[in-house]
Amino acid sequence: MPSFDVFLSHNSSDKPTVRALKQALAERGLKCWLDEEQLRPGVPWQDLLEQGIEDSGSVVVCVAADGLGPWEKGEMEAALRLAVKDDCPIIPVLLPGVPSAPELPGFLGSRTWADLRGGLDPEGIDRLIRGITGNEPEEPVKPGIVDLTIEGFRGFRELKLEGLGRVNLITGRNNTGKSSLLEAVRILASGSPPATIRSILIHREEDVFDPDEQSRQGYAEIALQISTLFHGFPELSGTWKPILVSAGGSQQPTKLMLTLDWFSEERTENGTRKYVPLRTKPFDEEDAIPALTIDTGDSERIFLLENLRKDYYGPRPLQPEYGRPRSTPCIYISPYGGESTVRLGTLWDRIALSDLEKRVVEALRIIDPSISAVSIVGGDRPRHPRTAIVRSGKIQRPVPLRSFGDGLNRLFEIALSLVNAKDGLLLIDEFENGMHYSVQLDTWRMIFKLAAALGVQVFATSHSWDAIEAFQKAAAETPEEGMLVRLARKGEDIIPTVLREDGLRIATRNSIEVR
Amino acid sequence: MVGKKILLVEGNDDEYVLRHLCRSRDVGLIDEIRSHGGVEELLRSIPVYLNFSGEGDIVGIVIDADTDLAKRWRSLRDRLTNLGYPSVREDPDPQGTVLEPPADKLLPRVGIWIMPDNRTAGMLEDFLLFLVPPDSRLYGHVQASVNSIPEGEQCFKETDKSKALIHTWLAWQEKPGRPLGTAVTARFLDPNVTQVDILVAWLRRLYV
Repeated sequence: MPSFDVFLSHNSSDKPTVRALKQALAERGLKCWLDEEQLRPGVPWQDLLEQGIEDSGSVVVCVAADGLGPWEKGEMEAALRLAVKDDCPIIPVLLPGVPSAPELPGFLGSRTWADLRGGLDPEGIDRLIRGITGNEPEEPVKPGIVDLTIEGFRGFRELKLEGLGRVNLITGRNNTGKSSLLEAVRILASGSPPATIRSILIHREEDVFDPDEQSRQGYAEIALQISTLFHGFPELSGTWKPILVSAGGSQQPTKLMLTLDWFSEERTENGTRKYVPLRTKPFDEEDAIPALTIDTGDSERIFLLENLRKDYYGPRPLQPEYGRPRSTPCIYISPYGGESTVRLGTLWDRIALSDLEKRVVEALRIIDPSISAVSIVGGDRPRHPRTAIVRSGKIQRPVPLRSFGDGLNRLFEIALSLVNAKDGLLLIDEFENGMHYSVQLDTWRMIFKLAAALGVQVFATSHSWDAIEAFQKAAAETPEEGMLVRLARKGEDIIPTVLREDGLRIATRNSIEVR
Repeated sequence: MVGKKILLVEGNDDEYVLRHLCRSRDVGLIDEIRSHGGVEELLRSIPVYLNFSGEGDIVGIVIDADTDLAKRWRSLRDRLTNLGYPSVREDPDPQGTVLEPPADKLLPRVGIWIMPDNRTAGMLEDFLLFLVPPDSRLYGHVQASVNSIPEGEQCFKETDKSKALIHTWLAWQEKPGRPLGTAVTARFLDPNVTQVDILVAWLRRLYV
């Protein structure tokens, strides 16, 4: 096991640059052998050099403006022997001042070099480190939903969106379907559509499910409750056009079709229950059992509506097997915020002590640079729910995140959710809630940056002009695709109007209100 | 539903002149006049304004013909047709253009006035020259002065001549050197001439 990661071989004339290079590599966690530090008086230097090379995992040969001096030839021969013997990488590095077509001796010239002639910039150092460690950086995942179609769902007769970007802001007046759009995406991306549907109905206070009510007279009632999901509020006796949500993009296209069907229950020979579709409208049939047929293209399942009554924490929770195996993470942030420390605790547990945790702290520091760490603790005693605590440079002991005010709490929720949505989807309902306009721009910047780095696609809703303006500014600043979709009612339909990068810039420059 | 009535113009001069003209002629219809730092930015912004207007909004546009009226009209006509406005005329309406949106789209009513008079090349300053009394001997002197600038001494381009004329006229008024908009209110430029009547009629047709 080599005790050094990198042996820095160089011509003595460019010592300051080489020192700077060592510093940059050390900051990235790489240990470097550099002669001025490692050579001790009284010991023959050539032996030490050979030893140094043998002790290192790789050799970086610094080529300066005046080329390689005689000093390096000895090292080069040793390095060559080592490279051949141990498969140790040798990387020539061109330092600032080197002419455009440097003359490198045979064995160096045939290798790929790292070009730092422009200076020791982060990208160049990245490339060098890749050469040293052999690790290719991950390409972040492209946005999964580029085209989205929603039919027959809530207020949408037919909504088609094309060319969605990495961060998409949905705006529009009240009751124009902003939250419904998020709901449709949630159901589509969910590993268990019924569980998501139940959660949606509860949040919209459409749930009058009484868990104690077991009588079958409730069937019509439940069917009516779920009718609110279907476009046009169909009557029980009327036709229910199916709900269809489909998305195409960089990954496999996905689609989901929901229809309400009626069944009657039969017992088979071995006593198990079987459900048989009914042909006629069962308006007055007491034995008619309503169920959702969930068709995902590659599977079709039936979900009895009465199962919606079951409480998640009850004895028989909704089974995830009703849905497709979860393929993409999809995290939803509700408008109310801060209502579920349990939920945040779960999200925290998934990323604690990982690199993603650092990202969350970085995000908090945007609003309060004095913050050095955050954690979620508690949950071990009945009256001690899990809460977030924070270390701040200004205070000696950890304090509850709550005490830092709404803005920081909302930002924490967003950042924590974002890192949990890696390679998947993040949905933020009513972005501006809990945030003063002064932090909204920085929050958007954080979202754009982090979403790009972690391959997350974001859908957010807002009707606040401040939030929209801040979104426009942040979108204009980054190369990442940002898109604004304004929903507006025209008669029976909801019509989308789209603004992309260029349009966003024009709108920002001229303060054009786009809500 | 009552929406917002806005007027989009190229630059500050256009904004101030139109504001003062409206005041002088008692036209109180417009909620906001917005300038855009130049004709290119105005042209770029038009689709955004129109696409994102709210219910009941009305959008007016005042833009210079500059040297090629047909070309300027074409660039507007193309944008409007692309957005979905049906049957936009081949040439601008001499009385000022007013277009109703198609019924199935969320677009506003839109109006266009091409300075100076929807018919000739030119700019705002050419329109303002209509407001100078035609039989004024002082104006005769203005023209003679501008036209007799010694050979090689004229710094402005021929296409900007109307600017030189109008500012020279204003330089010699009771309060010399007033800006264009204030000059209208101060009656150094007469807002009651026929050409302004036509402009005001267009505004009324558009915004009421």
